[in-house]
Amino acid sequence: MLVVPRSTLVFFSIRRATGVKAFDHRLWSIHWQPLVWVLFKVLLAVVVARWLWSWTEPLAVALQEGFAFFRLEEIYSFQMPDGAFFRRIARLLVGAVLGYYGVFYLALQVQGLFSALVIHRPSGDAWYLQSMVLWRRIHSFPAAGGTTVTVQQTLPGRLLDMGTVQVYRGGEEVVTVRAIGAVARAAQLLQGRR
Amino acid sequence: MKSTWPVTLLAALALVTVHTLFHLTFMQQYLDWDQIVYLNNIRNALQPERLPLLNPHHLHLEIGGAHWHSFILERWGDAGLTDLAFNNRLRSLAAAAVALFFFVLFLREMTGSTLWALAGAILLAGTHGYMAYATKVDTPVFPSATLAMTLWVVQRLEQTRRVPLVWGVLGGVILFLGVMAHQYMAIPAVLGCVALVLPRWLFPDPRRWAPFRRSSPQRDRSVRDIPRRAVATVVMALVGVSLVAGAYFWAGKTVYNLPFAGEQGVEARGPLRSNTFQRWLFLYAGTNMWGRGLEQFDPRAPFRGYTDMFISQPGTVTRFNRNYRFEDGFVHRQLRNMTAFLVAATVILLPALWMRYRRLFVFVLSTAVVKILFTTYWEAYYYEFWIIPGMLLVVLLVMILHHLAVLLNGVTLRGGSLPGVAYLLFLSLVFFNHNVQHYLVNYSRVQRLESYSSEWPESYYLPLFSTDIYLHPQDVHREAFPGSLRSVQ
Repeated sequence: MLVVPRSTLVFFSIRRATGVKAFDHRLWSIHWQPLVWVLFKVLLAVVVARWLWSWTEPLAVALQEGFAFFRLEEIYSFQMPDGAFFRRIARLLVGAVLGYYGVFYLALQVQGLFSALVIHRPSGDAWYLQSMVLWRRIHSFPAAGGTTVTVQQTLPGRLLDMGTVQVYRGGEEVVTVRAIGAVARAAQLLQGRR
Repeated sequence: MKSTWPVTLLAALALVTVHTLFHLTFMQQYLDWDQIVYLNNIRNALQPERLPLLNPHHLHLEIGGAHWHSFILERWGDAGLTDLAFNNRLRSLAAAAVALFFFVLFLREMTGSTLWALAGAILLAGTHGYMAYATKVDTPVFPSATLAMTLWVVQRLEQTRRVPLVWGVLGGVILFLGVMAHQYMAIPAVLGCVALVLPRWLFPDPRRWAPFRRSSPQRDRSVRDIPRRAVATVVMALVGVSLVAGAYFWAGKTVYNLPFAGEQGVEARGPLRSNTFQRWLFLYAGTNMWGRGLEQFDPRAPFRGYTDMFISQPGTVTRFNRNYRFEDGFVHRQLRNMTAFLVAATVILLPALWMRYRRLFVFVLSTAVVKILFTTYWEAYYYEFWIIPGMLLVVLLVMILHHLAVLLNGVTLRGGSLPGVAYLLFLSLVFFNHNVQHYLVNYSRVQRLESYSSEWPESYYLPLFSTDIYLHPQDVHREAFPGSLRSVQ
């Protein structure tokens, strides 16, 4: 089985982004999420999803009681839906919510696995590489003119792919980006590209 | 749409579920002229040896009702859903649910808040017109559903940045459904397209006049991608016009084989075979029964229709008639206050509303004005024609209150939405309570017949009353609410 280390993939992205031919590891500082941490988050998500799934039965009971509130069985001669119907509805609802957020969350973890903040030590240039297929959405922040990049994330923010990226240019202009995913626009704005 | 859209979707689903169950509990039973005629037309359409009535005014109604009834019979007939009138009331109720669902999505996107969206939708659901037509076998609830979808798709086209052509095609299908639901939906269809292609300079960036600018990496979405939006709008219009033309040619030529004016030797078929294609296409406009509201203008007529849209007259006042009776009670005063506030705020805040809601405001206001004029011209005292203007006025009210809330937020930082949402819920409560008490209970508990032709034989309308589906057909709430409701007048 061919195992490609993440660093190799990130270096590949950096080469595409910067045009650097030879890559000297000593000149670059790379920060990413540890693999164990990503796996832990996925495991945690599965446990939480399993726990939420156990709420389908109480939800089915609540739905059935809510239906009974309208007293349709005392008005119509129809066959009214039984408990199995409400269990199906409850599973559908919980499954849809868990499915949506589950797919969304897992995709974020895969994306996070291949994302990294990369800094070229001699020049201070920084890149935030956020990519699922590595060469898309590469964000660069030229350091000329005293630009600095700060990424601030709390643990819950990290879990939700939220946080703050603050970019200072020349000590005057400040752009605050609440979502990591919007960094590309900030970079374009700073570089004067529209 | 924001990442919280599952919350909005679940809230919208919860609202329409409660709305549906509530109307099932208070399902209207009465029959009037329109319902009797439509139900008989639907019954005829179910007979394979007869050509269905294809009314160009609302092309879908009869054949759609027949297909719906067949579908329900096939799917849930064993469970007891075999009644033609009841099944078609369910059809209206499904359309009302679709309208509320998209109304919530639209308002949520406009205000950024599910709470605002729910408050606006609850107000709409509590109005007399919407409540009455939600389970009536009649036309207006279907255009209501397509209007909500049109508002939503115009909003998407204004904001979308990705694949607008897909939205364009979807918008065209929605405009087509609207015209099938009722011909007068051509008005919002045209105005929606116009609002989307208005020149950009009509909607300047409000930050231009701000004392300072807060830099943001996100550009204003409403002023970008003009060419793509224009192309998508053209696609929407072309798809809509093509489908509408196809549907009318299918009905008028393929099914009825109606001759064009001046065409000789064509053997037309069906119940409307005495007409030419052109005359059939504008059948209602050519009968000289409607559309005299401006020449014989009576100011009491539009006021009666408008009032009836929001609040019910007392149960003894016959509906669908020119009996101009206005009350002066607490509920009617609330409607007058709301209307005065709506008109005054629209005039005073017009530039601000224009700047904040941009093309949506242009669309909503222009459609409301044109539809009010059209309704006054066409059938001013029938509140069924005031439902679309009423929906748009509810949107306008939410726009105004939300705008004021944003301004208030700038002063108080928090809680700015509270007065606006509270006012919407207050109006909802007042209208809902009044309309349930004076309309819905009386029209759902017992079988009731009004405004029908004395020349009709009983066999034409009596079999349409739903009896088998109820445990107690003569007093359906006898077991569920014994003695808890006011007696039927």
